[in-house]
Amino acid sequence: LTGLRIPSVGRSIRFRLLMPVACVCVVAVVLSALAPRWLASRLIGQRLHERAESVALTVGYAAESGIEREGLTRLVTAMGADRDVAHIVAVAGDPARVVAGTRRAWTGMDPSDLPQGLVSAAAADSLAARRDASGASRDRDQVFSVVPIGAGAELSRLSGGAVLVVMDSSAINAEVALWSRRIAGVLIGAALLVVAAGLLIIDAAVLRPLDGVVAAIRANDAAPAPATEELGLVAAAYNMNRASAIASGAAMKRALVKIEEASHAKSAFLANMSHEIRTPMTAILGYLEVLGERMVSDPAEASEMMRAVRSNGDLLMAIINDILDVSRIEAQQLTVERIETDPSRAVLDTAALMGPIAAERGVGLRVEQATPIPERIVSDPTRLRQIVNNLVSNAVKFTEEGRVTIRLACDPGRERLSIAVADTGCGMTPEQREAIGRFRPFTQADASVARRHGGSGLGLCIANGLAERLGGGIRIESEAGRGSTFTVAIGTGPLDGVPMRAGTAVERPPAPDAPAGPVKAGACLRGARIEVVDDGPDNRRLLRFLLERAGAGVVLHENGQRALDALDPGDPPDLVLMDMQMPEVDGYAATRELRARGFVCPIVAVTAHAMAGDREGCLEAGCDDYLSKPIDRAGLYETCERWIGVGRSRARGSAA
Amino acid sequence: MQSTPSRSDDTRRAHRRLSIVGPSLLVLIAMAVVLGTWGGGDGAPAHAPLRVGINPWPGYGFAMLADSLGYYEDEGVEVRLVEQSSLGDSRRAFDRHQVDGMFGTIVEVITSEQSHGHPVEVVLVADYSDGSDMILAHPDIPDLAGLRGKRIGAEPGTLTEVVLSLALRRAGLSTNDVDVRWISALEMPRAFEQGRIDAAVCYPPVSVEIADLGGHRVFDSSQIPGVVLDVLAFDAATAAARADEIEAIKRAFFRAQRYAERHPDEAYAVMARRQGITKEDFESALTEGVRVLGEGDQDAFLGPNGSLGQIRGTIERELRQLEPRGLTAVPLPNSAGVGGEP
Repeated sequence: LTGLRIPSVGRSIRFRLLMPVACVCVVAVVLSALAPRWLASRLIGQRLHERAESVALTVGYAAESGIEREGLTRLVTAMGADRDVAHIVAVAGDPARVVAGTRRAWTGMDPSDLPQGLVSAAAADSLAARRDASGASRDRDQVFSVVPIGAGAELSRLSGGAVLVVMDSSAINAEVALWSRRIAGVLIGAALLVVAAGLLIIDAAVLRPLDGVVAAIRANDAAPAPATEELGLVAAAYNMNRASAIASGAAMKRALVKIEEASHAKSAFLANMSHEIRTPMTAILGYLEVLGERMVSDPAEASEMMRAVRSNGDLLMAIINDILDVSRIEAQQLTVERIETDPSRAVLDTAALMGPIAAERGVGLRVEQATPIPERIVSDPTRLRQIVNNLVSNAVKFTEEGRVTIRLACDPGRERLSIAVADTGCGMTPEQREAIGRFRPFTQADASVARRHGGSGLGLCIANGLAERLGGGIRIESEAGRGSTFTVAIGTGPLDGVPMRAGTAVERPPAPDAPAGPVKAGACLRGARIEVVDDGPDNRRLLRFLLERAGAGVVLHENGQRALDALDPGDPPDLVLMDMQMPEVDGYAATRELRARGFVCPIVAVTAHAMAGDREGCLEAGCDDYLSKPIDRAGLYETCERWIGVGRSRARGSAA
Repeated sequence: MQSTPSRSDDTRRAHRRLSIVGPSLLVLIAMAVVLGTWGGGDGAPAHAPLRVGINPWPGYGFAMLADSLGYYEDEGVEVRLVEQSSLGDSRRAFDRHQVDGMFGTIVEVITSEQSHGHPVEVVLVADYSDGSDMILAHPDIPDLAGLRGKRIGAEPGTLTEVVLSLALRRAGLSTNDVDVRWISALEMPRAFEQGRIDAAVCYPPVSVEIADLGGHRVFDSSQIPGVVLDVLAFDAATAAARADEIEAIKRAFFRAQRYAERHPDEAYAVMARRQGITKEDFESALTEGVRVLGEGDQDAFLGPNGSLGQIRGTIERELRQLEPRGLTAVPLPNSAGVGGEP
């Protein structure tokens, strides 16, 4: 706006608005002052001519009517006394002589001797010639008319004569000039008043409001709203622009702050993750190196090291799963199942898992039921377990002494199940609670928490994301030094006719039936023929090792094409373990081809792709089940055993 | 040279521009008022000439002489002498407002006041008739008494009827004893010549013509001195409004009188020509039958104790005697005039 300069006078809107108005007024006034005068002069000249002619005709008519000379003279002097009549002269005879006139002295004169000062030469000539004529003598303010006199004027001896009437227009011209001047004066005065009024009106109605707007624009202030519609529009447009510029500036600033915050959080997260991943990796790689170089001779010590490698690997796996979940939640791609679920079971299972850990820290763990709980709800049991597990392990982690209470409640009316996890831990300040309550990933109450308690800071974020997907959310209540309560609510689906289980408190819930010891590597797969298709030699070897230990016969294929070449529909294996991502022919294509060739044997996908939708993709291609890498031995045996059973009955069915 | 004016400059300039509006408005309004009243003043243009009706009569000759000598212009007044053929026609033009003033006698002044109802003011006394108003009779009629039963031409509403009345009374007659023929002065000579009238009440130059036709004087104004007073009179309103111009006319008139005293031959020649008679006839009429009144004589008539009122009284009395018989002061009938718009 500093570029806007004060306009020069010639370019100002005042000048451009008022100058033309003033010019038009002046021109209009001059014209309207001159026009009447011109018109009046013309009209008066015309009328005087007409009167001159009329007087001359009257005198001529009187003469032709036989009036005597004396009567004619009286008529001439009487008519000549009229204000606009200068002179009347009647001539007759040959040579022409004046027989009557407004001046007695002219009687008997040759008309050409009439004094030039009183009668113009042109008039005198016309009279002498006795012809119809009329004319004007501008310099003398006179117009004249000559009318010949016809027969019948013998008595006044005017037969063959003529009458000249000279009209004096000076008086009437003077009067016209006077009135013209007056009218012009009044008009110009009125025009000036109009211009003045216009100036005032334009100034008050347009220019002052405009000044206000212009001043506001120069000062970059909000413009006042003038009453004029157009100016109001201009001011409003300017104000709107200005407001939006201010607003967008503020929004930009806020967005920048957000971006900085996010960037900062990501950096912190990466640093954190790096730490989280390096810690178990250090243990894994370190122990593996020691073991690999056979530096440890004591088998018990070696077994202890192997256990450490194994638990650190599990930890690493958990971290990676968390990251995957977070990314799914962030990308809003997290899918949950909607199947019949026993909520009490999920809670009790988790409690059973966490019980020993809590006990180890000297923290009690208790499960309560505040209301009757439905035996089954429609939800995702895995995710529900994950949520509860998250909250409980958090609670246990942050509780030094006291206990953690899991309290189940159900509101059948609102179809809502709540699981409150209350601890007697350190609690949070309102600020910390506020920060945690945003459920942003990578956020812990403060940086020191991570150092003291470890953890990726993803748990709550995931739990909340999952709870939201299950139709609810997480509510946090906390008091610094007194402990926190995290309450997860989920939707239950319709509860009509679902039996309700009356509640009892459970202290130290019993451990579930799950095998606590080493996985039995019995001969569960004895006699089964399993074809493994995988491009990774290490994975092939691991699978072969695990499966052969379980008594299965294993055939390895490097990729889908090899498998297609080798497999004979007439002699199908009991099970195919199919890696999905391979060079040449991948798992999806190979599975489809196998199904197309009529293979009915079970095909289980084994893939490192753990993102949402991968499982569906596999099943769609024709696989019967899905195992994700890294391979969990127990899961592998269980799945293989189950599907070999299914496959055998399927084969019997098709054979029959 | 400031390339980027500061804001305070802007504001100051804006204020200055605003403050221009007020004064310019005042100027415009003042100009409007001045222009609106421009050309004001009284209705008639100041330079319109004063029109004075005049008829041939020796005593009025000085007005014509002043005109011919350009004295009116010298005195700063524009005068238009509107020549009429008789006292009657002159009075008629005055009554019709064709002229602002007229030369005439007290009789015309009074009859004009009566007929158009406006006061008429006498501004100058030019002369009084001392023999130039006369009754000329056919040679068969020996004297005033011989007029009984005769046709006598006289102009209605003018001096002539008063002169006739006064003359008849001297002979023991009244207007009932004669046949009065109302006729314009200009037409008297032809009527006398054609025998339509036996006698005429007349004054120069008509009286000169009738005398030439054989008329002889049976009565003249020398027998009623001081009654026939010739004056210049204006409508009272005009006299008041244009007093300065009228003063100028009087100055020019007396100047012409003084000129005639110094240069009688030239003056008489001019005046005789303007009245259509010979210089000799004019001279005799002026010197034998008229008493010219100069500037010094004005007070005796027009002054605070002047005799004008007395003369007016005499004539008014005379006119009142004529009036019941319908012989005079008849409001001017339109048909009697020959002027007017065709």
